[in-house]
Amino acid sequence: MQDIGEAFAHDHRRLEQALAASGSHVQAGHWEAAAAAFAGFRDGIERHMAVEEQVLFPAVEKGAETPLTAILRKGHRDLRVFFDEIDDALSARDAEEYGRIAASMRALLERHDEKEESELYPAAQTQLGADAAAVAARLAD
Amino acid sequence: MSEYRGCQLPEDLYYDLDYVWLRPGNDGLFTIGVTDPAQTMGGRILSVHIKKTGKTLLAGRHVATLESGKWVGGIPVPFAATIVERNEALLADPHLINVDPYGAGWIARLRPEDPEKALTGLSTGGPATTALKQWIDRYDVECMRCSD
Repeated sequence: MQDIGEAFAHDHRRLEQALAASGSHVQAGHWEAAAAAFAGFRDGIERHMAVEEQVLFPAVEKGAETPLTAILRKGHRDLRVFFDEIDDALSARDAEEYGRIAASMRALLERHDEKEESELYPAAQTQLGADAAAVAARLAD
Repeated sequence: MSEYRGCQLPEDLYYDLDYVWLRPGNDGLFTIGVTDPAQTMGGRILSVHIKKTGKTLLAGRHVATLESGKWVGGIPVPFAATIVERNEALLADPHLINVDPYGAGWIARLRPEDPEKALTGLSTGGPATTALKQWIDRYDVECMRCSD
């Protein structure tokens, strides 16, 4: 049985690999493959963020937003703008723009994921208790 | 100038009530920057990327990306606009955002696609100050201004 931290951290690593695959295709000039890989990354991270927003954040907030969840929600908003900008760069087949945006996005993801893994997931695991395994399983739905 | 928890909140600017302030100019252009509480939350800014002049942005897209040791974030434009000027001094010295966020730390000057509607959705004056105080509490920010 996976706990919240284990399942979500594993998903972070899987998503990092999907994003890296998109970048490799861009470097090789394989734009259709890059777009397909990025679409897969985006589908996966949207599902990941949805579970966090719908289950984990409310679990630790207990009715009142905290500075931690406010910052993490802001991170999700910023990431979604970066996703749109990456889609624009892929449509324009602009490798320079893709590289610049992807670098910013990776830096944001690195800091965001670290905060989730060190602060959010342990708190959510405590609050969710016996329901944690079912929540972790939603990442694979 | 209002102040709350050490954060300066000029009442003559327009705000998106998140990170961004805007100052309308007599030439129809809008200067954009980040607020004092936002620069505090970001920490010492180490690098700034501002998109190129002439670039047209949809509402909500990032005009710039800021990075500190602990934070990375995009700076969204609240309305569709074209970038007319970038703050080259800020590109050379990103720390200006921490030292003077409403002055020398400005980011870019924008020409709105629809000047009549540019300020729609932005807040200013007393209502903006009240909402920004709530933002400061929400993120639990105590402002500090760097001197150099």
